[in-house]
Amino acid sequence: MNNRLRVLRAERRLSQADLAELVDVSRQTVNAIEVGKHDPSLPLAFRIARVFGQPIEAIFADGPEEQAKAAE
Amino acid sequence: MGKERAGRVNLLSWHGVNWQAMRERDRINDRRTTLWSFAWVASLALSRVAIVVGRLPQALHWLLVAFSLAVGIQFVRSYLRMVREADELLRQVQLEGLAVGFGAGLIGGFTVICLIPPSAWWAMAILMPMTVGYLVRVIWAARTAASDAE
Repeated sequence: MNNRLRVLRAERRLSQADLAELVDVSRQTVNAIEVGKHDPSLPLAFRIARVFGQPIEAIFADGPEEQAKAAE
Repeated sequence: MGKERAGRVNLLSWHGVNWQAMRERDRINDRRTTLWSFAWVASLALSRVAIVVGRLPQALHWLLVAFSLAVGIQFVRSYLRMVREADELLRQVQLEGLAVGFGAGLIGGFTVICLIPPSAWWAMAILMPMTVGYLVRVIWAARTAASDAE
């Protein structure tokens, strides 16, 4: 899954630790999401979306594999 | 952040990894589970010594067994709570560890039982509770999820 977390964080000058505290997860979880090693749960995705004031689909998007599967 | 030691193995932690940025709730649950695991080992060791060294009446023998089991159950309950309340990534790490551990126990145990003579039926005493416990928990969770869905 692709996401724009790093960009959105940079725009708001938030560190990974700041965002982690805002959405009640560890900094490692935020990092793992950013680098694509962990897909967030739906509740966490909602919390992240709320922090940035954007819909989930504006932050998270299907990766190439999921898009290829959907196209089949 | 500079002093953060992400991913360092911590043998005194039930999370297995020492994350300085771990949430306070996870840290508390981790500590509680670790203490219960030590208490369980201590209760086993003390009960074993009392049973072997002392000539205990049968009733007291069973009381010590019940005591060790009670402490063990508390240990499992604290571990369950830790996993339930854990940070998402920690939970994923724990679940993968459990899956590998369970698989290793299952394959290793049955290999011993079936292929290494003489048959080590004692291993069944370890494997059966593990297997049955796993199945009961999975079936119960599946049934709960199904009833929630209705």
